[in-house]
Amino acid sequence: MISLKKIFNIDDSIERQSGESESILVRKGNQVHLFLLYLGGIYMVVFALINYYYDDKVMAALVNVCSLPFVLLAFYFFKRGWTVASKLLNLSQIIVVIILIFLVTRSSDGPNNGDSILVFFIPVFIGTMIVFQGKERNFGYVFSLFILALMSMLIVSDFHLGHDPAYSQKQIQRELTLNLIGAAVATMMEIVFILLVSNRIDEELIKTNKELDNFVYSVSHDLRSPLLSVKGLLSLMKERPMEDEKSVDYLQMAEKSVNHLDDTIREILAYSRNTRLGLSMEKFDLKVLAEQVYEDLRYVNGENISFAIAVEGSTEIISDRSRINTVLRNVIGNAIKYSKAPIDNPCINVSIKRGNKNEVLIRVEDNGEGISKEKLEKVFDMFYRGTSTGQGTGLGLYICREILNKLGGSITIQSVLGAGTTIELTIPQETSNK
Amino acid sequence: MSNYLLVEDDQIFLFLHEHMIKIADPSATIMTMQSSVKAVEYLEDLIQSGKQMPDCILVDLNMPEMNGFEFLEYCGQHIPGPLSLVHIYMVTSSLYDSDREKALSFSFLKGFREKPLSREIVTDMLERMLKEKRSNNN
Repeated sequence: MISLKKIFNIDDSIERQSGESESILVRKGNQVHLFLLYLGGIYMVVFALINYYYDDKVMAALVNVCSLPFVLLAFYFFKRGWTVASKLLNLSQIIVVIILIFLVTRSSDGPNNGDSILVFFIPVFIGTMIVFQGKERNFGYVFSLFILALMSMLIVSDFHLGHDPAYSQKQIQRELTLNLIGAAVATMMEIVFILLVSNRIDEELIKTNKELDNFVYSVSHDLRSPLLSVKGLLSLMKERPMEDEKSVDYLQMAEKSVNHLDDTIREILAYSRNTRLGLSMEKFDLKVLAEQVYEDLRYVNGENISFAIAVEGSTEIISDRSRINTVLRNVIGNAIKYSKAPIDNPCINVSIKRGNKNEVLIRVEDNGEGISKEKLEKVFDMFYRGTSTGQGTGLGLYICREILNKLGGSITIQSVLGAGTTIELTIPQETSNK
Repeated sequence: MSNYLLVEDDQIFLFLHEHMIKIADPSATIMTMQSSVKAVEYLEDLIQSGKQMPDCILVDLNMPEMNGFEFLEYCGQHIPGPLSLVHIYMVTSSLYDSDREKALSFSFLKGFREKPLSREIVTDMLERMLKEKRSNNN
């Protein structure tokens, strides 16, 4: 299927405009809806072509073509969050209705174009059914029938006027005015309806957002409290006389690590709170970042682990540095954390290369504990911890997946218990940034 | 010599903050309360018996039974005399700006500090307290 994103050159900035709804209600494209989307699109194109070749309704064909991007755009947004989708789809309906009225009133041979109006109703009906699905389905039906009734009135009156020579020009004008008023009322009601539905959806989103915020608040507090205790105890130890130089060094290292861990929690918190904000894209060197991440983490318990980065091609990418940092921190951190098993040469091998579509592929391979097959399926679940020996919170890989979803990338894991784990990350790149 | 009241449900922080205050202010008298409700009862006793209020109160935000904000509300309503004489600080691990804003909406609150208290933070608190004491005496 052709990517709508490419057809309309929609970048992530549009995603940002969808606001709060986007972060919580990111909906996976439902196959039925996608089918209807393409059906609606194909229908409109075919209708436009038939109109153009079969009859002299060039304007009608143009209207169809003009309304097509709106409908398609609306469906695109529907995949992301349907508050915006419903608004856009309905905006397209309003535009179509207005243009129709304009066409009918301006028609040179009298208002006899009504027979084409009904055809406009079908995609509008399909769209309304899709946008107002679920709990709002009944509203969608009632609303669609209302529009159908108004359009039918228009068609009947058009037909009547166009075929009755007894009607004077004045009467025709009066009837048309009534039709216009009817259509205007329908449009107004439609707008009011959209606003009402949107408000209700917004209220639900605000409630969900608030619940999520409370949850994140509690989690971040519970995670940080013990860490800050350690931080405080370390600073208290520094206040005491210490003769052994090594101890002073170790204390400083411990303090450094605690501070880094605290920073990570801050980042995760910032991430979860800012999911509704857009991506902050910048150019940076992935290899340098990976090395930095390892350098920061190695004092935790990775001093005896060999670490190597293999690079193919340029490692400069344009992405969200902070988010990629969080992902690498989690993935490399896990590789360090789970290399504890008594093996001869604990190692972490990172490879960075470009994929076929210019995306960046990062592979992080370790020869640590590994994960059993049944646990492997759950590692991306929120709060799932695969091992009792680890000190993980069960959030790391979940957050990685969420971040990569946001970036349009992916994360996959392969592991053999006792032999090691391999994690592969795909970070998309715009082809224009070659 | 300054009197401190520490209200904090976490025993380690209580221990930490008590020791950090002792390092920065060796002459300090420190009363620690692991429950905010008990801290209120303690203040109630002081008020009823007409005893001197603590010079400095450090209160945590997230506590069971009564959280830091509720404790501040109590202080605002019940502590007699000008509240500016009692240096009240909120000491918390919260990273939320909303908590900071809400805390600072209590006009008598001297500050919002992040856990754990460092020697520098305690020294700064002490200096502010001594400075105000001197200006009040003059």
